[in-house]
Amino acid sequence: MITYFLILILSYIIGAFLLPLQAFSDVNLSNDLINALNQAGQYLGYLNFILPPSFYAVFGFVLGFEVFIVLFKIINWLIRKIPTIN
Amino acid sequence: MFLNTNKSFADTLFASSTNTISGGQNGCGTFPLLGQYDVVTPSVTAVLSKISFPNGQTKVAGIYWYPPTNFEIREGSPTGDIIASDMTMNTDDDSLFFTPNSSPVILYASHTYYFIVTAPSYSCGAWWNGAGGYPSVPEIDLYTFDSAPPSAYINIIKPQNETVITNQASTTPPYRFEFWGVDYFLPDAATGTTATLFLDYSSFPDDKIKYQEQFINLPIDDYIISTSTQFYFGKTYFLPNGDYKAKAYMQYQLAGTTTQTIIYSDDVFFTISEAGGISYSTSTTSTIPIPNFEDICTAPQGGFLDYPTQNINYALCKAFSYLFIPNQEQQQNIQNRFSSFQDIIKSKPPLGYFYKIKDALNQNITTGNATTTQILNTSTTQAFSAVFSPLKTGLNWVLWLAAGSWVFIKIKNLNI
Repeated sequence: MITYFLILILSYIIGAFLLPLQAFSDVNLSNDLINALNQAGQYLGYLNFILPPSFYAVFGFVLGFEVFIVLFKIINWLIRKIPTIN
Repeated sequence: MFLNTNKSFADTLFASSTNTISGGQNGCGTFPLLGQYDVVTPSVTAVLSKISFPNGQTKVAGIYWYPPTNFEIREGSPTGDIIASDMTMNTDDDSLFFTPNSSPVILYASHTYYFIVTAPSYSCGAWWNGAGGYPSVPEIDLYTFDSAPPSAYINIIKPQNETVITNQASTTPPYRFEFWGVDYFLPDAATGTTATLFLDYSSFPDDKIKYQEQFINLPIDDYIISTSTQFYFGKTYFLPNGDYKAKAYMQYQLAGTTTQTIIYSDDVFFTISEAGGISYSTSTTSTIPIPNFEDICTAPQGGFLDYPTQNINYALCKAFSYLFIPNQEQQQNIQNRFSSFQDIIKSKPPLGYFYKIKDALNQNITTGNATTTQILNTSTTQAFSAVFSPLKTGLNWVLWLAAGSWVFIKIKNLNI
């Protein structure tokens, strides 16, 4: 009972955070783009027998890290544009 | 059954059933259109009033009908597709019944249907002598549908033959499974409707997609009553022992609209095991054992007076179990709530784009849809699986190690 309600409260909190997302419509990609991705996936599929699953995860991780650094620098640059901050 | 003997539409549809046929019919040649009716509600059986049938001729409402008089139901326009034409004439005291000889393709009420009566040819002077004025279109009655079209749906077709679950090699997992399909129905679909079909196989309960099957530009045509469309992916998959969930969904856009709609199937839960092959379950509960009171609390062997300590322990155990262990219903509720969160995250911006791209990219990566025309196809690569499988496992560690080193060096030399 107690555990249930604690988890339920947690779920309501998460639900509140996700509430703005529900205002968006579902994501849809054009068929052309899906076709292109499928085609790309097919080419990668030929190498599936040697490419480990972590290849894509590591690639995404590295890419995400680089994007994070770039965003951090941009935000830092913007903050320094405020007159009272060096 | 979607047909009945409700003839209520007949009065409306055929109030002008005594329309006089225009044009000269006296003489030899091809007889023009005898009658044409807009059938708003489709039908498969028509009834014509008749008088008698002497010498193979059919006299209906003053007209002698000679074979091959045609009775057709056409879709959309008088010259549209014939959906019922080959009909058998049966008679009773008052009427001729025309029953299609085969199951007619009858569409739902969003279309207009034409019941057309024609007499393509006749013998010169034999069928009608012109006496009594021009013939009139006979009275026609219809059997009509008594049910509304069902809503759009999509269902998973499970493999009927469980022996398809066989071992990939000797008795070791992963196990092969195949021959899954879906059947679907879109009552409002018309020619020009586009659809993409998905079938996800996920581990359960963690709900991680193992395979996603996708078919783009699914051919969608006008849908016919009581006839859904079945589609089989016809691919082979490999999964180790465990609990899994299959879910199919279809994203479609009706002809002439710009709105994308998605319909989902019910979840199909199945377990793959070496001993039992594949087994299905309608339960949304994982087969992973969940502790309940009986598992945790051991009932004392006797009453309170004989075993006071054990009874107190048992009572406390049950009390604390009740307080801290959610029951099945509560667990299901929690699971449903968090599953809905997952659905939101996966289907809404911004992460929805990531998932869509990942799924689209992964489709052929995970299933390895290499064609046989390629040098590296599945048959050649399978031969090297003994070498490449451990190599792939090793590369996993190497890649993560390389990524970790790269991040460490990056942070160390970071100049912000």
